[in-house]
Amino acid sequence: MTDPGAADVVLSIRDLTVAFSTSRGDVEAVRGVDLDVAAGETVAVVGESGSGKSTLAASVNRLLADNGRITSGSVMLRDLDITAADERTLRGVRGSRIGLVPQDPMTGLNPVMRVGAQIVEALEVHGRASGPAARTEAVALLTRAGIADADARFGQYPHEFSGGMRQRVLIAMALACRPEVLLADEPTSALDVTVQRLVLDQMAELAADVGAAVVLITHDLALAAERADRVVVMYRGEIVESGPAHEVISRPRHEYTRRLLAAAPGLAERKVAVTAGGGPAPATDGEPLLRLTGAVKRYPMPGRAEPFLAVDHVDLTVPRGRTVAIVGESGSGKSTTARLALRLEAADGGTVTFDGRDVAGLRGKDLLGFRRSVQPVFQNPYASLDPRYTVAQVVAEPLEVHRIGDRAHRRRAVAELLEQVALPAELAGRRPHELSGGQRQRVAIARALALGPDLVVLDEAVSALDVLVQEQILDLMVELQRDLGLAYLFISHDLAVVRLVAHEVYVMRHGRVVEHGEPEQILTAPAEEYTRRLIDAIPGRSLVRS
Amino acid sequence: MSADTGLELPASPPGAGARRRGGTWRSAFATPSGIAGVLLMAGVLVLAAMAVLGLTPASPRAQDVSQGLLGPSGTHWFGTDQFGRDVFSRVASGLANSMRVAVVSVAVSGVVGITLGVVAGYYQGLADRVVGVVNNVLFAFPSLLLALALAATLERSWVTVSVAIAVVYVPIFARVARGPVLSLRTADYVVAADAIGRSRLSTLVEHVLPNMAGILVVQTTLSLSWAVLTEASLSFLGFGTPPPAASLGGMVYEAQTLAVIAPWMLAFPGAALVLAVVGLNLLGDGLRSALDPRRADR
Repeated sequence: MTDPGAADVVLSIRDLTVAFSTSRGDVEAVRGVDLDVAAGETVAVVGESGSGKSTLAASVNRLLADNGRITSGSVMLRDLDITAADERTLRGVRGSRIGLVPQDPMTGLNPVMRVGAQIVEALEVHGRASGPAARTEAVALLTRAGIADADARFGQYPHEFSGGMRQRVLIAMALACRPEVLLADEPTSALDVTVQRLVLDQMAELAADVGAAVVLITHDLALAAERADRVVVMYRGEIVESGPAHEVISRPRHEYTRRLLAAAPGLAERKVAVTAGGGPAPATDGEPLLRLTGAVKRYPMPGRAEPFLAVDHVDLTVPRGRTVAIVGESGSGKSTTARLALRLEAADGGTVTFDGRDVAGLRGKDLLGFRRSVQPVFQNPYASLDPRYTVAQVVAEPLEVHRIGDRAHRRRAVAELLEQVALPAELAGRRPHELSGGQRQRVAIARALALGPDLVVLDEAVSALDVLVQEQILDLMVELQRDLGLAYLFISHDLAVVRLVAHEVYVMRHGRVVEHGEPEQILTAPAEEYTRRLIDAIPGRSLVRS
Repeated sequence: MSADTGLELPASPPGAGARRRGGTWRSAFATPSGIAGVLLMAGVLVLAAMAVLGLTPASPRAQDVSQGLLGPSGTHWFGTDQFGRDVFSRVASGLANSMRVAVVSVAVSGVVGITLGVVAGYYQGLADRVVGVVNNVLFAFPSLLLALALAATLERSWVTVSVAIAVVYVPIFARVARGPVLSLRTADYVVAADAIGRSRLSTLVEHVLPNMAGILVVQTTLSLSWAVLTEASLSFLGFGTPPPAASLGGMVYEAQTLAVIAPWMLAFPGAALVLAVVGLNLLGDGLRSALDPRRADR
């Protein structure tokens, strides 16, 4: 487990076991974990949610939830035993000798405090600097974390920063006191892939500057392998495999590692066959199912005369039974395009036709008919189901709204739909909060299928899921498409995922389609610099090439 | 109990209603504060019911000066006041009056305020602007002062007191209801309901209102306790429920000059007031945790 010849071990975890007391007795989240991290080294801890990787990180600075405790083993920060230290000592260690980058950049900063003041605070609390010296130091840190014009940005509030910028501020804060260890718990899972890449580059650079050892917690094996010197794979609280990154990737020994590797979208095989003919032209003849022609959507901007052009003359077609993907960064207009396709918004210009009919003019029965044919699945599996509904009620709702069948018929239909999305029938009586993220997304898909649609619009439908669950949902999508002849409009920021399932890809930027074609063609020969950036941002891309 | 409870808990999805409603009450009893709240309010309502049904030991208005200013005893549990009226009977009657004013004023302001707030938040546009302006105007007046002015200009009775309190609480309910509607109307499951083809109104009733019921129930119970206090304040100042009808605020007012020789005249109505307010607050707390779907099923 120990790096051979590692002379300078900063963090040494021995036989660590962490238990949480719950109403159903003690649950061991981490069992007998050994881990050494040397100065200047980056170690990635990889696993699915519930594998204990975040608990491991939390026990390093002893910030476990109230019901958690370290039951055995030790965590040594050089010669300080963290497990035995008193609260006072720990306060001196946290933020000073151990820096922490949290997962969610949106809640990591105090919204009513200027960004600079928060970094100055971190410096002052640990007596590293004060007054004008602290300010100079904070500006220097922001600059090194990749914040342009840091001097002016110093006085701004968190809401004036984008997600990626905030995460850079948090990284600057975590490294402000030159810690020996930097803990980064899923630091970029809330960010777009392109931003993720920049933030991780900056983090690595800054950590190397400061000489901190980095412990990177992630669910993405490809990302871990690309970023870390060593990779540690955790499964159900235990380390099942560890070793140099390239070795774990090229010669995985444990079955679980192999599964993670197979599921990583950057490394996995395509799930749909590309048509032999090639070229972006739809393979089916006749009118496509969905057609956007010069579609425009404007939003008025408060305090500005010029409206914001969210969708700028977009032409797009979705043929029957095919998957068409829209890729782009946040703010590129891809979600608004999805809302136009769903007729949740009316286009301000151009036309949206479904099955040859302009959707703008649909009223009454025609509109209900359209609703039966086009259904959405959203990104956040926690927000897309009414918390008061049971699974059966969620899936039956579309049938009730459209007055399809009597109660007994609906019950049978729900059972069939749950089977179709591979959910056990006994989940029917549960409420969303009793389900995992993957199960919720299956419920959302079952609801979308209830009316027998022709087109399902998936807006970042797999982005919030772990790689293994993501793979299962993608497999389910492909299977349903084959069985039911569904067409998908698949919205994602991640070209790696799109590559797996799409027949055709549209790349969007600033509300415009900048290029479109078959996925392999886009990936191997992108016409635009922007597309190239999206491709380079795919985690593990460099591993595939080398 | 209050008319707006019906509004806040619209018909549950078929099949689950009865079971879930029963579960709510069971889990309201399951938290310590919920139990305390339910017990306190049960006590308050028993006393109030005694007064309404005429089951108090004596008539709250019957005077007997020869029996004036007697301390608590077997015949007069809470003692008597300077006119020889039974303080226990008057406390029971005062509680009945407080609860009547509180329930009526909160029912009226709840129905009007929640409707305004929900319409403004859900439909936006002109409705939102109009409700916003009306709210801001009403908010500009200090609430007790507005109630005082209304109570002073209208004929004194428990009805005018209720109306005065209701007017003050309409904008509060409107504001409290508008906030959650604004965030719920863009929730993914509400958008999904739109995409299914549910009508806007049906989505409001099926998905938006049930998910804000917790907030509204808490607001309603809190408002009941404020209304009890406001009624007591108005009566204390002489603008509330007119004598000789018993009101807790009026009783405290009459007792203040006699507090040294007859402390029971001050202590019992004061304690009744405090317990009623605390009981309503605890009940609201218990209901809030019971109505959270993430906690109800534990």
